[in-house]
This record gives sequence, structure tokens and C-alpha cells, in this order.
Amino acid sequence: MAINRLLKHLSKEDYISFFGLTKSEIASSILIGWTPQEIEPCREMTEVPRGAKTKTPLPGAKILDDLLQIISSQIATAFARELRDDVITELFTRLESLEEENKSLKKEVDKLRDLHVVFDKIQTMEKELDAKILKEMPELKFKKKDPFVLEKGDWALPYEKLKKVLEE
Amino acid sequence: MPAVVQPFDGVTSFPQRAYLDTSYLLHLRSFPAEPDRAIYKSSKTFFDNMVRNDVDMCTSILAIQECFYIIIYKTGISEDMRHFKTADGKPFQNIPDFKKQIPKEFKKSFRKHFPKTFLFLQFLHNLGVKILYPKEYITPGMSSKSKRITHYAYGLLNRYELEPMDAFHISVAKCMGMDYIVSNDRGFKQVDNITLFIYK
Repeated sequence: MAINRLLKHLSKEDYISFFGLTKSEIASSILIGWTPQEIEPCREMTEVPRGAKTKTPLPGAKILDDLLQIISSQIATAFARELRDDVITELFTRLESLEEENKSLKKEVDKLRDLHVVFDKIQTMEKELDAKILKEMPELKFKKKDPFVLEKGDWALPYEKLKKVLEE
Repeated sequence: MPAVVQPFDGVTSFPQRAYLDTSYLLHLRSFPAEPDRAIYKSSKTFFDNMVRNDVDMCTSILAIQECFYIIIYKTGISEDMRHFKTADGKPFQNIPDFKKQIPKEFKKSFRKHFPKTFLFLQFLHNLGVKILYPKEYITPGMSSKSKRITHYAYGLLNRYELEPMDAFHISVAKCMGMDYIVSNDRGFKQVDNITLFIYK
């Protein structure tokens, strides 16, 4: 987040507006984390002596511009790397979870394939059995008729006889 | 709590599906033999009401097996073997002895009664009764439902004084999602969690 905020400061518009501030203020705000020994030479190079009026930019200002550009590009690179690392880490995590998912799906597919093989086998067996049975069995045709009309050879018993048989 | 018992004549609300057991099927089959007999008449009227109320009527291979046994052996061959006597001159006590001692007569009798089973199947077909054959529930297999009927029937036999085949009838009905049993067998009355439609 700090890098991000700093980068924002270094956008084109903000960069220009910074020059409304004293250059040492910009330098000190950019060079956070630098040691005083590292900041001091910059301060010397950028500070305009009080009361001095000149239109030509001081050599220190040019150096500061260059320095700011270098720092901004370094920060941008670092930020990009950080971003890239985050993205890569996230991608790796996602890849791992996808691999896990893929593994379990593969297991399911294997299971289904096994079942399909068994199912196919059973279906083939049933078809063969049907064909065999149809070939072997005699053709039976049931007559459509009133079930409560007895025909020759039909079985039916008077109640007392049936009762005796069922009790046995 | 024992079964909810509803006499044939008092049923006003009909279920979507009902299981017909052996005794009810045989009573229905015998209706033409004695159409004025109250129990036959009531069974037939109840059947007509089930048809009128779009009840999905089901039975199982167990009921058919029992009916076949009664038609061929109990009332067919058993009757015929009375005309014959053992080597000792005594009447035959059981079918295996008859089959062993006079195989020719046994075969003759069997051939005579066997066609009745086909006519019985035709009767069921014309009634519009569906035959359940839940073999995968009975035999061990890959399905989680396998052996369920056997286990359920075993539980019933441990809990109630039921004939083994009656326990299987209830078990088949329950495992096929039917709580409604149509039967003239009073033994079902003791069983919890079923509704029994019965003659009186």
C-alpha cells in the first residue's frame, strides 16, 4: 500500500504539482527510509539560496528530476514484481486447487467408466439371454375374456372345500 | 399396534396400490363356482370396487407358486390318488409315495391338472393383476436392496406367529412400497404397520 501511495505521488500531474513545494520537501517525502547521510547531498543540490532569483534551473533540480525518475521506475518495477508475485501466487494456488479437483473428477470418471463397462456387459448378457429365451420358449397367447366366466378345465372350488384346503 | 383392519364392505378410501395374497386370489377364482356365497360375493364386489377406484393391483411369484401348488397338488393329484392304493392295500398318505409307487398314474394326473395353471395365469392376466418378481431383492447381489425381503420376513417371523410364506407376502408387499394387503387370511391381523382389507 505504501508503494502504491508513493507511486500515486509520482503520477504526471502530482509530479508537476510537487514542484510548488520546496525540492527538499519532495526529496524528503520520496526518500523515506534513506539515511540522513544519503539525503544530505540531495538537499545541498536542490536548495535555492534565499532571495536568489534565477530562471535557469539549478543543476541540483535536474539531478533531483533524474533521481525521482529513477526512484519512480524502481518503485514501479518493485510494485510490478510484487503485483506479479501476488498474481503468480494466486495462480499457483488456483492451479493447485484445480489439480485437486481434476484428481477427484478423474476418480469419478474412472468409477463411472467401470460402472459403464459392467452396465454394458449386463446389457449384452440380457440381450443374449432374451434372444436365447425367445428362441427356446413356446409362444403363449392369453385370451381376453371375462375372468369370472369358467371355461372347460378351469379351476374353482366351492367355499367349504377351499376353506379346508387353505386351512391345511 | 396390530394391522388396521378394514372389511371389504366398509372401505371408502382406496389406496393407489394394493397387494393381493394367495387366499384372496383363490377366493376370487372360485367365485363362479358359488356366486351366491357371501364371502365370494364380497370378494368379487371388492375387486370391482378396486377396479373402479383405479387401484394398482399387484401380487408376487410367491402367491402364484402357492396357487399352483394348491391347484396341481392339493386339489388335483391328491384327489386322483384316492382312487389308488399302496402295495399294502392302504390309501396313499402323501404325493411322493404315490409318485414313487405308481409313477405312470402320477404323470397322467400331473398332465391332467397342469394346464389349469396356464388358465390361472390367463385369469390373472384378465384381472389386470401385476405380478411382481423382485428377484434382486431376494438374492444377494450388488444392489443395496438385495436380501431385503429375506431380512424383513425374518424379522416378521421372529416377532409374530406367522406362516413363513405369509411373512414373505408381507415382506414383498412392504419392500415394493405397499402397506395395503388384500387377503382373507386372518393371520395378517396381528402384523403392525399394514392395512388389511378382509372379508369381515
